[in-house]
Amino acid sequence: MSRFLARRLLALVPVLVGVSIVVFLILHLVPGDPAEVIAGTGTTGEGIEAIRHQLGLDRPLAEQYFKWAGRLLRADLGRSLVTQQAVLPQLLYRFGNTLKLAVGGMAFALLVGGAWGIVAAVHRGSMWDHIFTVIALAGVSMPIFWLGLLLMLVFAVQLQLVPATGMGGPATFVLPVATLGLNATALVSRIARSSLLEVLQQPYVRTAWAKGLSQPRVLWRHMLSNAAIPIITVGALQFGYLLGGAVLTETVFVWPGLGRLLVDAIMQRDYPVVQGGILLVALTLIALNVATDLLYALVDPRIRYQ
Amino acid sequence: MAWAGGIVGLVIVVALLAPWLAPYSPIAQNLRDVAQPPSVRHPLGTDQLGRDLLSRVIYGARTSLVIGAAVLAIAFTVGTAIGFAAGWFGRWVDETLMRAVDVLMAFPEILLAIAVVAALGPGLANTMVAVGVSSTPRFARLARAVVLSLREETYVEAARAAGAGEWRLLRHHVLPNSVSVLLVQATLLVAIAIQAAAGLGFLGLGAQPPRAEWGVMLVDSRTYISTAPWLLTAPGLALMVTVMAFNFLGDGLQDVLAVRIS
Repeated sequence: MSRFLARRLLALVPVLVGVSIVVFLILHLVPGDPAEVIAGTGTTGEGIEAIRHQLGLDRPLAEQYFKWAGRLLRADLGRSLVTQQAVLPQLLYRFGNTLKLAVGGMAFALLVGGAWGIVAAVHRGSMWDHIFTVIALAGVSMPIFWLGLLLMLVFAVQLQLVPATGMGGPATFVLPVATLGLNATALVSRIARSSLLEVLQQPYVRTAWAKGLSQPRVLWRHMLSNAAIPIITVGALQFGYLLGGAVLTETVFVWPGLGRLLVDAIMQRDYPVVQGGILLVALTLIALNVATDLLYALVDPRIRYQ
Repeated sequence: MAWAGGIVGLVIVVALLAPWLAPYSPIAQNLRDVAQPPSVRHPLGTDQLGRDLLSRVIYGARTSLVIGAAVLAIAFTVGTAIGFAAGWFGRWVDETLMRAVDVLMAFPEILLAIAVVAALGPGLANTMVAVGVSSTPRFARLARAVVLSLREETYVEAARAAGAGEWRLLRHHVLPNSVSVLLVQATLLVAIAIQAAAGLGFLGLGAQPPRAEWGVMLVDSRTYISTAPWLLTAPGLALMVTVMAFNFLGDGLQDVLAVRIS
């Protein structure tokens, strides 16, 4: 296992270098002179020169990258051009708010999508199965921000059950978490259904039925424990998609998360914040992928020797 | 699948005939008819600037399809070229290209699109580039997988034995046989592209006002959600139905063409 872990971590190095180059290039792909773009109109030549110097843009490209990457390794993401404050603490605070939404949404999707998939698989071919399939396909096509707006219209504006925007008490979590969760539910339910259907045909399930075990017992002891692995894996992979969806959800509900911070930073051309935010999400996903691989290897020893 | 194809066809026709179908200009403001609920004169109502919502939804189809087509052009050409090169030539070409693809796939697609917009600046043209770039890795992976399986086919071997050059093998044997797989993926890609571009528009990073774009229209609807809720129904519905039609069409094509994508 430790050899597998070492190999997996070693394979990570080029990806990490690549990701850092992509994030580094964000600032350098800015058309024209980045310093002038950041300064905006009405800044004098000296002001532009100062920004160029602060960002190190007056140095050769390779030198800039290595300096920047060196600071990254010391967890120094620089300072915001707008507030002049260190980027990392701000990012981590906002990322915490985003994670609350994402974890809540994931839990929602696994519970609701899982239950839904079980019902659809057990009653395969029934009217319910068909209705669920159509709803799930519609759900995949539904833009998450529109779903959020509709939920807001019904539950906050018309029924006035929960607040429409902002982050505060538990009630403020209901709509954003439901929005993110419902969006992911469609996919989770499809995977749950298909992996259960696969398990359903296994000989050990037939044996369990033949032994005269009750339906709940077969379902829980024999089927779900075997179908859970693909469901959880998809859940983990869905997490990245969920983080992407969080950007849009945060805009709908004015949630002080990382996504909202990123979009605001882009509007203000606050590149250190933009770069740091994008890097943070990418690193989270990479860590999650590695964790999923390790989990797989733990469960299935064959994977370790591939 | 027939109905999905029908809806896709309908959206294309609406987009092409927008100037003749739309009762008003999509950007003409009429400050005497501000935020009117649906009526005979304005079947879907008007927005906060008195613009006719039906006309804006119709022109929105045009914006979305143009984005879909542009993204497809970028992701299809670049992605297929990368995937074919990696799958066909193998070894270091494959290694280099696929490591680059891995790097891009470390970002969630919408985030990669946001990163590109962050560099190039907000706007419609940059949205197309951004979504195109973010969709390319997926296409490259698929094209590579297709080539890897086709490379082992006996007819390719036979053609090679008959003395066909690399270029000829690729053009006359690999490409024609991978069309069905790529076609399915292309249809699904249009759905993703339209949704992603609308998302960027909604964030304020995509198409800019006053252009009629469904995502941009939904931003406005949020501000007036309690006073003019009709603003959020039509653009959202148009967006969802269009995306769903492309998704179903892709699924249907996959079944019809019996495509198995590994």
